[in-house]
Amino acid sequence: METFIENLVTGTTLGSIYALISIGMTMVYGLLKILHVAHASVYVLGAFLGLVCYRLTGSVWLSFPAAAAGCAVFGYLMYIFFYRRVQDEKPLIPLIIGIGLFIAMGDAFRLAAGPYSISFKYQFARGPLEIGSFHITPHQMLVIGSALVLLVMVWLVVNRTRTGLAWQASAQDREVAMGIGVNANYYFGLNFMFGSALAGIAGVLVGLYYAAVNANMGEVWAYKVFVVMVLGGLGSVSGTVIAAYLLGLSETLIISYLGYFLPRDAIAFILMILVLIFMPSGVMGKRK
Amino acid sequence: MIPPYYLTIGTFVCINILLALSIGVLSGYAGQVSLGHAAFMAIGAYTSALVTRNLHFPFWLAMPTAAFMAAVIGLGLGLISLRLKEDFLAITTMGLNFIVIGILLYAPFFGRALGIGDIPVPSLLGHELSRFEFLCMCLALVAAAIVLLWWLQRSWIGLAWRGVREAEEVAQVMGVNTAKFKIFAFVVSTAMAGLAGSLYAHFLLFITPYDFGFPLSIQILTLAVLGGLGTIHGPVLGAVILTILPEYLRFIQDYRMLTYGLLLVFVMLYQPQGLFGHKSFIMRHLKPRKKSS
Repeated sequence: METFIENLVTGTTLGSIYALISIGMTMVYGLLKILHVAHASVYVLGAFLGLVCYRLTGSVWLSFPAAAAGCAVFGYLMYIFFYRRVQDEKPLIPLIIGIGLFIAMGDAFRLAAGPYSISFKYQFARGPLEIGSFHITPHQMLVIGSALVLLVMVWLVVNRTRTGLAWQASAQDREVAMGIGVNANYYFGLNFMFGSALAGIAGVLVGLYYAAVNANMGEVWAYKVFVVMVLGGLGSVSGTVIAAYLLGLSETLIISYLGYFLPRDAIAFILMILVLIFMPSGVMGKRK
Repeated sequence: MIPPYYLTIGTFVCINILLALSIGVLSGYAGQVSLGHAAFMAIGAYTSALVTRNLHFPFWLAMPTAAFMAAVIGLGLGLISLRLKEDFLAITTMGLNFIVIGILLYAPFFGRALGIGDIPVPSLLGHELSRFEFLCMCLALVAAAIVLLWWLQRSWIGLAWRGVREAEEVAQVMGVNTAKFKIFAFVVSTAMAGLAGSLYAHFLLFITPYDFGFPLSIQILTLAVLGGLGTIHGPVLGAVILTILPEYLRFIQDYRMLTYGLLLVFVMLYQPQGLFGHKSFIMRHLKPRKKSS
């Protein structure tokens, strides 16, 4: 029982991180039908910005807004310089550009920060919370708590603001939306900023949770995000969030009870291919 | 005698040309992008290494076996491709790359992380091929591959592939069995990648799963995309340039993935048809202008 609860907490933590990283990519796919592979490098950038800010100011709480702001600007620039120019081309061209950016940035991080992990340790004032057999560390509380707050915020922005309305309209039919006066390109840029800021915060959270930041921390996550997106039914934000927690929990439970029969990412990919073939609309998606 | 250094580079140029042509068939002609071609090279290399070492197959039999094994898996991927379109097919091929490497790393049969060593040197009539003879064989295979592709491209098959690439539904309505031709493109392409893998294994005589990771798939794609998809000379020139250039410009070696990544981005932004593709900047200036009237 104790291991089960422990796995539940670990799985929820993992799921929270998956959710925060995947939302940006899912929204981009929903709006532009582009697979934004380079999103995972935005998340690594966030982790590094957070670490630098922490080293400079000594405050972890400042590193969250710093990473969010830096990543938002970066995401916006990526849209302006690369994706906006090819958003109407065949889907393969933006896909290859995304992969090129992802590969190039991965190498750039490695050149800038070296191939080794950099420590990102932060000791919270209070120790772990224990209620009977229930045990949760402050880091886990931080990850789960901030994910909850941010997910509520995402829901509010998408469903209760004009920007969210414009996103929904352009996702449904860009031409009609533009016809009735929605400046689609402006809202696409905002969408990149918003998703990238979330990924940046996720980067800081991962850095704190594992107490380390390294240049290739984006790789595994980049591929996991695909799995989450596909499971969530491509472009559906609520589906993605559910899929993220589902993957986080099932992964932790499977590995804890069955052990590794293949590397983690291989398991995730087998799952993704099976879903793509047999359930192309995802666990939450609507049948077409 | 040619110094061994040049022989090695020459052999790698040949292997890369085969890989670039192989992805050229799939992505250039039939329009199906693969981000996991290194997986098929791995299947070819491991098959070839295992049958020669454990079953004592001669190299000349191991090479077709390697191509065959890769083509069998390629056939499976081709069947999957009938259900998945464009970018999702691309992610699936990427996933396949990770799954294959995962299996190679975890199954003791494949030597796990240590890979397979002591792969026999190919021999002909009891005489072990020297490095120079090996290079000649590779060149002959490249020539054969070019002739085969040239013939395929001119035939009805090439026409059907272009139909699938440009407008699949239209081709279907016109009576082209697009499923059949798509799968055939996968089979031809993966068989070539398997062949290249076999050559790689018998040239280096030692292979590990890390040789065939996702970065290699990206490199293979870069070779063909830089040269120009949809042509034969494009991938060949792309492979030659990107194999020889890093040898002379050492700094590229240190920033290898950065260079490949940026090349992909900027070629796609400014010359999506590649440097030597149809109607690319270079080709427009190389060809004599026809008078327009």
